Amino acid sequence: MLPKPQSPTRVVTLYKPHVSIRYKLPLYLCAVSAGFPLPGDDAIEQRLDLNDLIEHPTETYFARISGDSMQPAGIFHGDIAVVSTALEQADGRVVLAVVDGDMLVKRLKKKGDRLFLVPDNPDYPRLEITEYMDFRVWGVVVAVYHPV
Amino acid sequence: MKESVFALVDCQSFYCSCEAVFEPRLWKTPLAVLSNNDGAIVALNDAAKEIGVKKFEPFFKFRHLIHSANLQVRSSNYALYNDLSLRVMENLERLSPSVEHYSIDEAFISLAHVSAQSRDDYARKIRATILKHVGIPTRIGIGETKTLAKVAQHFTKLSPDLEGVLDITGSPQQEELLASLAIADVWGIGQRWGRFLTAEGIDTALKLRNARDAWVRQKLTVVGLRTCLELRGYSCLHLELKAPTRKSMMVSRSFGQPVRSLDELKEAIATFTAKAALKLRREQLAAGMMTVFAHSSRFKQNYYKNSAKCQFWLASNYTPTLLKYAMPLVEQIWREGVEFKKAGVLLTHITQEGVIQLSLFEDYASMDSKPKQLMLAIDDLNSRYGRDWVRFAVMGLEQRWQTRAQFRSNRWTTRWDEVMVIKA
Repeated sequence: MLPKPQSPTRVVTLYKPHVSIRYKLPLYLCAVSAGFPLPGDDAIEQRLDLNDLIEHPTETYFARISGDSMQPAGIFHGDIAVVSTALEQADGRVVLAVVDGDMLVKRLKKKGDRLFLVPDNPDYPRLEITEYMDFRVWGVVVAVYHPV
Repeated sequence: MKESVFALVDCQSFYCSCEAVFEPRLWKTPLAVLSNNDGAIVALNDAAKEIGVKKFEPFFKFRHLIHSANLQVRSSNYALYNDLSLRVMENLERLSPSVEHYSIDEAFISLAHVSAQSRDDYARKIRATILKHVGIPTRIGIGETKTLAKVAQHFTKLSPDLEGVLDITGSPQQEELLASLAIADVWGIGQRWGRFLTAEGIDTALKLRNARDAWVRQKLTVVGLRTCLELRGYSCLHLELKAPTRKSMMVSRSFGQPVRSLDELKEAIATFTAKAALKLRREQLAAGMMTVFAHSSRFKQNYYKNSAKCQFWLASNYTPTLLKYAMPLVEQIWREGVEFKKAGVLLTHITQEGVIQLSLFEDYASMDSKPKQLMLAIDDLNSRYGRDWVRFAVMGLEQRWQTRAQFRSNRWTTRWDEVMVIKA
């Protein structure tokens, strides 16, 4: 990930731009080949960009994960989660939920008409959503950026 | 002619809602958002209104409510508000063929493509979509003209049972609503015309609608006549789909603490100039003229204000060139003993970056691509590592004059090191 900017500001290096220096290139020094065109000249493509993997950019947000309750799902402490608000909440999906003002990443499970937020790590308890709670799904976790 | 239908989509307490999207507790706590420099209150949620906080009043008047009534305050976080505004607009662009970005929290859209019977459903779908995708609640007013859409939107605020949508297109209810709308609340009328019209006996929107054309035109010019016709359902104001071409670029700030020394004023002006130059480059524009201004506090004795301007040989967006012009201007306006409270840079004579009027005396060779490459490199570094990570020395380091933003929330969507941290 990106380094954190230093604060308070410290001078690291001072540069002076040398835009006044001009390199004179003699004209016609290099021979111009008029013979053989570069093969595959018309096959230039855009390089792959990770952003292409994001399906709904306008509905995509990022969040850093704190804690290991979802580790079996491949979501580790310190990872960056890719959260989408475009997808529908559904049984079994990993969601970013808001419970009484707290934001949590857990798996949504429906059992009959009961609703649970379940951690994939068995060391943690599951949370049943009751009518007394202020509960809302903020978004669905669709991927994580995990440094190896 | 009568075919047009407009909707005004208005984001509810937009700045407060943006804050609450990322701190959900704030939906139910009284919240006030402060102006630049944390001086005044610029936005409130309903809970803050209930405990008596007033918009546009100085913050210090309500500071005690932080402890006594759990009032939450945030400094304005424009990086966040701009990003969420853009996300709202992008959603609207998918839901309507024509969208006018009217302000940071309002858009006019055309609903001419939707049949009269399904308009209400469609508006509710727009509301639900923006609420789900961006998290921002909206209110939508619909009418034959932009002015009537605005009227309808006004009434959605007053009646919660409408659940955020009111369509008054072709409705016999229009007359009754216009009769209860104060003249100054009509879009485009404002306080000054409002006072004049009230004195003339026209104190409601309905009375203006029924006024004689010739009289309106004579007293309020063609602008007022347009409003009058719009109230009758004749659309005169069309959607402005393209942002108007920029005539000027301004960067100005109130200082967090008064600036006395010339060096500090130079630092501030250099920082504003660099910011303005960056904005020009982003929009691929160049400026041909610069005005630098500064003033002391209006509320203290010996109010001092001054400005100085100069025209460039060549329109430019190159930071070192603009700094070279700016610094002598600062020397012109600075005075010993003055405590400067605010300063700014105004760039005018804006042209497209590529279309640069060559000067008779300027060396064409000075227009080579190196400055451009240098700025591209600096802009890239700064967008990656944070604003002014690489900066010109004259911009200073300590910047003690920096605007106060003591209560600013994270820039959740535009900085990697400020994204939300979620418990898993």
